[in-house]
Amino acid sequence: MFGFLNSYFSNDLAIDLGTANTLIYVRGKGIILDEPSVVAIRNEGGPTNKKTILAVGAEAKRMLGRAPANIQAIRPMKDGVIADFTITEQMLKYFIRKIHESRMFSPNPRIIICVPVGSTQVERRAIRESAIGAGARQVYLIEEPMAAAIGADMPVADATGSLVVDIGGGTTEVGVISLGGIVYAKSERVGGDKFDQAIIDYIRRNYGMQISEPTAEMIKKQIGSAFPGSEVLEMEVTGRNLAEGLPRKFTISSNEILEALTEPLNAIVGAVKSALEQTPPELGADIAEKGMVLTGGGALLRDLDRLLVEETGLPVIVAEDPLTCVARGCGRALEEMDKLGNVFASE
Amino acid sequence: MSELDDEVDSSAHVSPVVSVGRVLSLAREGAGMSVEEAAAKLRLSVRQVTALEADDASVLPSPAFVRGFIRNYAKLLELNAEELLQAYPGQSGQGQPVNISLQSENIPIHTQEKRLWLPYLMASMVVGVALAGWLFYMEYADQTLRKDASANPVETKPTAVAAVPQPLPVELTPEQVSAAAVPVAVSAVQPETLQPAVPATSAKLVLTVKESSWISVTDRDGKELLNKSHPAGSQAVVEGVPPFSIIIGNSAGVALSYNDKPVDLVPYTKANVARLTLE
Repeated sequence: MFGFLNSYFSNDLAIDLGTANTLIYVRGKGIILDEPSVVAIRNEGGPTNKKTILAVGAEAKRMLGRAPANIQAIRPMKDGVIADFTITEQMLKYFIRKIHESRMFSPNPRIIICVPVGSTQVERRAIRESAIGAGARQVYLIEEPMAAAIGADMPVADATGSLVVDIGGGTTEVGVISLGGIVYAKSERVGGDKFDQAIIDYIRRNYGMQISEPTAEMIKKQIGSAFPGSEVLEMEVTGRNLAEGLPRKFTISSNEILEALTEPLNAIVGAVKSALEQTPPELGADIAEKGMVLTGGGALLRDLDRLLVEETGLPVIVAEDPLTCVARGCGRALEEMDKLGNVFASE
Repeated sequence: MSELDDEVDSSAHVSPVVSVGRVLSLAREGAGMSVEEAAAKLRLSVRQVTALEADDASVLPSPAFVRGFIRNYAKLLELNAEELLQAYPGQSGQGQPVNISLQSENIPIHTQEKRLWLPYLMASMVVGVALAGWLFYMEYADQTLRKDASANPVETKPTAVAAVPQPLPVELTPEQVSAAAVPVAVSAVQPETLQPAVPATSAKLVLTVKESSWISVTDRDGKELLNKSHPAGSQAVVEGVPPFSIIIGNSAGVALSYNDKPVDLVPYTKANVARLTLE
């Protein structure tokens, strides 16, 4: 009833609720929040004996792996979906309040939120509910490949097939899009997190060293690659030697990381290939002409486009600013939400 | 073209060139690569590479893809892709963005099923309105009838009653041929059943007041026909529908006649107040 008042007091938001990062786009303003999806919780002892949120976002991410027993740094999203409902809701509430800082009234915006295409009804409902719990007046869902394609400025509404590969923190989403809808989509639970885990496992197996997740992420960003390149990069890493139990330094090369990443990379290549197999021939011809577009943080892995070019024989393009593609796409849908019906997903 | 040149020149890092396509073409020739080789490495068709080098947008897909192709080509030729892309029109944030909503004629399609209920709905609405109207009319007619009946009970009721027996003999006359006893029985029953109804409307009370008295008379419907005190020597005449319930204050000083027949008030009197009901 007071919708018009609410729209005056709250800005509509588009949220890319990712496994690794949460990005928020505010209508008319652009992306104004980009924080890791991490929440630090402190269990207070003594007479109060309650749980409080210590930090959210970048602050909380610094606590990952460094916290004492009474502080837990939690990543509430796992594989693109909610793993901890309450914490996700608190995190969203915190982010929404952060955007509306200066307002007198508690915000209740309309929210567009993106979901992995492979998520189940229960998972989608959980995302919707948590957004409503965080104060949303209305929640619209959009599937990630669609948002990524819009964000990458692909001609989604045209009668031409476009293949988008969004490699996020938790999932890899492959979507064939034509006429404003998803013709074929495949979601693989492989992403940045799996890359990190693969590096951790490789180093433990081959070096007998235990490294942390943030270290693995750093290795991936600095020397990780998906295709054997001409130059071999090296990096000094500190870990705990499992045999001695003491911190030790060692050097690791990009070729070794390439070897470590083989398995998750094969899963991504497999997903792309199976999408191409399932694509109707007419759209396949369009895709062969234009190639596929890589978005998401995973697209920044060195030579991932080379790998996909060699494996599929199609041109591969890395989108401009791939990290924010999904958020920008969600934002674009937000700007035009009132006249846009076909890109939103049903629950 | 000249705009492009200016932009490329202003970026100043690129040697005097004509366009993005020209830069790519020169760099390819410099690297000793043929168009076919470049196309094979980029996984593009020769036609597309030629179009890229000729800046021919008509053959190429939408700008987002072309920018990607240029970046890939620049990477292959070890050029600075960002400088080239700055010179290329359709940079993100520039120009108009790709349309994301599907153009639609927006004509809703009604299926056969959907239309089926419409006549039913219309019909039921008409019936409903008619029913409501009829009920309202009946209620209204009933009210006016009752008003008439109470205002002029003598006139309306007999006509209503008289109208009832008349069709009966007409209907029965054919039967009279076969059974003579039936109409007799009917005619015998009719006066008996109808008789109480006839005087019911035309009952008359005459109250002759010899000593001042308070008199109240209520008719069948509980309507007060009389409720006041009468001075000595007056006479009150009440007409209405029996049974009457009558209360007479100073009953010793009042003589009551019902349909011109005197009624003895003594048996009904208690403490000089008579309470009685007359059929």
